[in-house]
Amino acid sequence: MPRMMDDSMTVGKVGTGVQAFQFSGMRIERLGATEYTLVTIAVDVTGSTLPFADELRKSLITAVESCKKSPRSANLLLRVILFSSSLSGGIEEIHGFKPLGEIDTNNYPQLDPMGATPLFDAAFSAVGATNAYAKTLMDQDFLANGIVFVITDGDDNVSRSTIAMVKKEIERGARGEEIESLLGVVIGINAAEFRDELKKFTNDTGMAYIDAGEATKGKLAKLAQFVSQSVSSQSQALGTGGPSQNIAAKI
Amino acid sequence: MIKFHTDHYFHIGSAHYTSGKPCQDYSFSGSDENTACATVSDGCSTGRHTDIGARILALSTFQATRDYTRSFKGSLDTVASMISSSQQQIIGMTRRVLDLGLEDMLATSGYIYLTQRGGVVNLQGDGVVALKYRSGGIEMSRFEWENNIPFYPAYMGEGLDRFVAAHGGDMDASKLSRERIQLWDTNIEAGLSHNSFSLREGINGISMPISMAQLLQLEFVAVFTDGVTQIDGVSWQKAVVNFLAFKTVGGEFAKRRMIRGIQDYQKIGKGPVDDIAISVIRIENTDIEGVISEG
Repeated sequence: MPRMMDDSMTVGKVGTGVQAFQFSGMRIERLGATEYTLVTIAVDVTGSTLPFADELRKSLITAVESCKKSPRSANLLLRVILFSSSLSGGIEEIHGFKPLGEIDTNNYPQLDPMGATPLFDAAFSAVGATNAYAKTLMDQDFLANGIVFVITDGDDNVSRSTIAMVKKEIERGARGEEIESLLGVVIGINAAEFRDELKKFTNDTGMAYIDAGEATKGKLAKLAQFVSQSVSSQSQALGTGGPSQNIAAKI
Repeated sequence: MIKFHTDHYFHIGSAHYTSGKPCQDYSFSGSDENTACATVSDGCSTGRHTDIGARILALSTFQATRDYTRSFKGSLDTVASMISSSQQQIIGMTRRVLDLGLEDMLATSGYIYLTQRGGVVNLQGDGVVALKYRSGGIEMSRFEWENNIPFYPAYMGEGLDRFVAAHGGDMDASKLSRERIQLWDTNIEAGLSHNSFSLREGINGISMPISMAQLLQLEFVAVFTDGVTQIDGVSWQKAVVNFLAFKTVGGEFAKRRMIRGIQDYQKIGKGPVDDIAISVIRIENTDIEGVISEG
């Protein structure tokens, strides 16, 4: 559920019934550019991430601050969500789609990892919200594309959403009608044990899988760099009719 | 209280990029607390570096309006002649500094200058002017020179005699036509009129004053280059209505609308055949709009 918002944000919903998730985004009338890349970073805060929670938070902040330095930063809208069964509804939105200039990473909470892994819910919420918000933008003459990162150390075990739902949203993004293009990336960190499951999930949904290796300081720093560079590539692809071809295959 | 917001955009026509020519249209706009200026320029396609000439014309005009605002504090009595005079000085200086010939400077000039007390739209050359009212009605005028020989402000420095001769030499002869259309609520035509201007009037530039009373009723004032009349399969009236159908009005509102409009036209035809430019001023009446938003 989105946190209490300021008047500059609007709320949307993806899914139905128990498989519904809310999201928030900047009110359209407050946006001034002609085109935007919608970026979502979904971070796993399940119990197994406790040993590297601080580094994971730093990596998230580094990624966001790096995006702020991009020459395309004025054309990025960023959403950050956490996922864990310990959170109400499994998903907590730290903030909705916002211009980078309005994001203060000092306000990012300390991570409190516990609970099981609603991976499919995180992917569905992230991809579905991107499609829905992009449609709103495209209907108002803005051009939009999107990129979603789901950072996890494990396989799904508690989601209400299904693989088919995630796949449907990825396919919706690929049609190029409501969003110019949409890239979904699952990043496994400390996830060697679940590599096969995560690869199957991404193959079945049409997302990409990147294995970031072990959760060391260095690897998490590289993860942040990968996110920032991928965002930059996808943003530069805006207007070409398709997704970036320059997303690195590994970190 | 009136606040001004501006935006502008220009786009290369299909005939230009298939023949390897640059975009020879240009537009520029800006506003401060009390005034706004929006300008377009269309470079002659058979000239030389008229893409540069169009930029110089548009930017010179914009600078001339800033100079005028500083000197005359927004008085409207002599605005067109003062801006024209200042524009010629800037053009002359720039030509000398960059060593440009007349053939580089053959570009039209269209601009809107608005203040808290009203304003003026001025056209030297050809193009389209459009006024969109808060009621939704649109009044648009298309200006066209006989035999497609438009006046270029650069002739005032050189070549005026040849221009006059090309139009037959009679300064009182009708050489510039105006087709004016009024639409109620974008769909229903309420009026259509034609009139013409003499060679002398066309050279002096056509000025259309905007009174304060009219300003309070207007939501947008826009000027287009004549590329808006050359969109494959689309009438100029429909194109103007479409390009003024802004869905949101924040930031680059005109650019968004025109980019989307051109994309839609390219799906059904070749889109703009000639280069096209728009420059537009949005008039926000904070007294009225504040009441509406609170409602």
